[in-house]
Amino acid sequence: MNKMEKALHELAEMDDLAAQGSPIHRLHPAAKLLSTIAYIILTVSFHKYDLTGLMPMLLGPVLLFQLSGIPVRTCFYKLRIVLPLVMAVGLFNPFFDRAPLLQLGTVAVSGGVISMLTLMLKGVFCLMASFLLMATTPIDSLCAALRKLHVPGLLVTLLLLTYRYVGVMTEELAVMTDAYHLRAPGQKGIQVSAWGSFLGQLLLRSMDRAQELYASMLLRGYHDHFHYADIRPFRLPDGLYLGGSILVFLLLRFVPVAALLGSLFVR
Amino acid sequence: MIEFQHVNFAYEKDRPVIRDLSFRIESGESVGLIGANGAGKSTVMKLLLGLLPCEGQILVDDTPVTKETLKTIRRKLGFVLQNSDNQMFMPTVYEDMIFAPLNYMVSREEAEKRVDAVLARLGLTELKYRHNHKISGGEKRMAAIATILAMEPEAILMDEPTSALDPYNRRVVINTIRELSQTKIITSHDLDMILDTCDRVLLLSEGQIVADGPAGEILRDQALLESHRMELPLSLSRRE
Amino acid sequence: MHMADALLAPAVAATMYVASGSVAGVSIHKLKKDDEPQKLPVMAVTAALVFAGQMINYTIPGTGSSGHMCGGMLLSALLGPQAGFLSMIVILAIQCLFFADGGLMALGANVWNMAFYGCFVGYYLIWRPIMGSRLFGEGKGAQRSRIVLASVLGCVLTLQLGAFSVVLETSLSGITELPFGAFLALMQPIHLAIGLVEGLVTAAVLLFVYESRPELLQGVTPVSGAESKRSLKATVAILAVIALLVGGGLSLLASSNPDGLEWALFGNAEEGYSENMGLDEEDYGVSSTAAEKACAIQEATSFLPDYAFADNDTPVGTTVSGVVGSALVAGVALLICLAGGFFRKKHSKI
Repeated sequence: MNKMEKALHELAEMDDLAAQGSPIHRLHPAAKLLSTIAYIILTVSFHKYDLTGLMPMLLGPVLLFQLSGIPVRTCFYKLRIVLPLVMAVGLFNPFFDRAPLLQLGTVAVSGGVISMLTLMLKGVFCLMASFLLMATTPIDSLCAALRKLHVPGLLVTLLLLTYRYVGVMTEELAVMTDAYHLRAPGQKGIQVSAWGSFLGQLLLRSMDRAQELYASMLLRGYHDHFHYADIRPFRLPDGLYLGGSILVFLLLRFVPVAALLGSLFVR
Repeated sequence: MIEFQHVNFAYEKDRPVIRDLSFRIESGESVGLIGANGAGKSTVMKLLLGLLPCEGQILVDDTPVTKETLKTIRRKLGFVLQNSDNQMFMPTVYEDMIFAPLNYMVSREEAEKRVDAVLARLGLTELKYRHNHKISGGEKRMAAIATILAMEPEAILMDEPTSALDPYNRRVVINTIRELSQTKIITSHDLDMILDTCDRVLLLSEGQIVADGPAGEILRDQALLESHRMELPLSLSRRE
Repeated sequence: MHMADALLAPAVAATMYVASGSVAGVSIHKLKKDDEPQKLPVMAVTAALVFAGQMINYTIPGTGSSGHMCGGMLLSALLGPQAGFLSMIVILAIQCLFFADGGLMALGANVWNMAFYGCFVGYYLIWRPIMGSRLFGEGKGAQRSRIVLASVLGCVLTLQLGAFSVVLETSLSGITELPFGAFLALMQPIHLAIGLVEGLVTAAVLLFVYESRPELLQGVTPVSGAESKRSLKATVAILAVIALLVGGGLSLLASSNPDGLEWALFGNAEEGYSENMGLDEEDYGVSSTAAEKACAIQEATSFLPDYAFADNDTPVGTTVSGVVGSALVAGVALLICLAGGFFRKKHSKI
């Protein structure tokens, strides 16, 4: 399986997850989007040493994962993309910030270690939240929600069309890549003599494709704007979810839950 | 009713693709447009749909195809593209099908009803919410036809409707075409399919009509077909 | 170069959203004014192509490694800066939403770092002036050379700007303890190499397009002229010589001044950091000798903490009870997971 096929597989997987029908899936996409953004902002806003304050934020996504019937582990595959840069940045902290912040028995933990862990957990939590959004919301519903939130129509339509053709183009390139490597055994990538023509060929064909696509739009009465299929109204449960989830996130953010819990057991 | 009157067209100067083309198709006819590669079949379709400008006149229901009349004319004509991926540009089958009705100011309730009716008629109901990039080639072709039927056009144009389909899906598409009551214009190299679905055949060569007559006659004329780089349909050649 | 949400403070992320959003607004306005509805499908298909094209591995001759393409320059050369910018936004949004590449909150910053520089700076500062100039003379060969030069320069410059912004945004967010200058010294050279490869790949693709359909390129007036590939080779040769000179010069500098790199990494870094961040820490490293510096570096890189508590009053403390509480929270989270799985299984049995 080459890289493009893997990407297609990932896309298909997200589509499958989003097509399920849990209570979370049925919520209005705008409510989910806004709640996710609130969660991410609150999570990221924790102080770099506030590892214990950050921990309870985990409860939000974990609970929602369970409610939506999506196993938490499905999102860990995506961590391979998020973590490297976060790690690269975070790994330096223990070297530069060595003032101990915490004494656990005989082991002193430095501020750098704490801030590194905090940073990584933030990365993981934010990933969980945005993964959950996309795993419970089909792209077309999300686009309809974006329109409702007054994101310009041109941009939303472009997103919708591009998403559709990402599948088509990735598939074509997957086939081309296989065809190339079948005739060039032992090469790891595209050789310099084919740098231009490999993508260039497809690019020229794509221009013709775009023309045909435009014709197809025109012939079906397109003028100026797209109608989005999903116009599900924003109902009371959606509002309750949005308000409730933000309230819970705020509580988790500003009440030191972990410290309170711990103080029940340790003085 | 569709009529071409002395139509000329060239992509580049001095290299005409369509030369003085005239024909008339009555309502309810099903016409196969055949010819070798480069004979101008697709160009005829595009001219009829007003996608290319031309000399001469093209009439649809006695209305000439001009910039001003495009909207009304395109509403009457449904065009099924050869490449379904280019036709189905929305994420799901349902959204693609409802695209045209909504653009033509049909109310949403009615548009929904139309979509469901077409899906039920073609036996595609389970495809409704499927993603376009995840359905098979055969399903995609049927969905593309459904997309056009949801427009409720008066005439349906099809460009190679059976290309790259397995025998089963090809048969499904042929049966679907046969059941359509609208005017049909079908271009294809699949002459067996043309024989199965069309009453009349126009043979196009170098931008001109070289034969026009009942499908059964033209598609049996081995000499004529071979002189224009085609062969007898398999179903006919076997018998001889 | 995709930044994750965790690398940004909300204020920085919001600022970048506003910046990118305004540019997007202006771009949309411009496209609407141009009123070219046929451009929308071209943008979508090209964006999809670039998205897929980013996954292609290009073998770099003479090395075992391979490079990639990011696409900002390519898109603006094909679609113009405004349409290219919007297409890049959509690519980045899809990467962020479906592949977790970059974050939802960091999208504004990512758009700025990768799309704004690539499309606007690359187009208006590099692509258009070079393509409109008489550099290398007249004719097809000269135009080819201009395409190569503009692509390489454009990609290098815009990637440098992008890398700089990543460092700036991360530092302003107070995420990393890595001093500003050191971080910069780490990021810029890496992205110089990346930019060079990306520039050459972009040039190759644009040249291919130029040969077959020159009218597709923005700001290029197709010419019919003498066929000569010599000037193209000359351009590549010139670029190679420049690269050699720059690379050679840098390594010469590094070898003649053994602690030059260390200076770049730590000494200067501290200075830059203090200046840029408005912080005044101990001034070690600014004017000390090499020996002292080596010592400081050794100290700086030792992993184990000093066994003396810093006398700072930490604003938010990590306390023992906090740690215990966190463990409990993790336990609760695990329980929720297990409970969910349990109920699901039960449910599926019914």
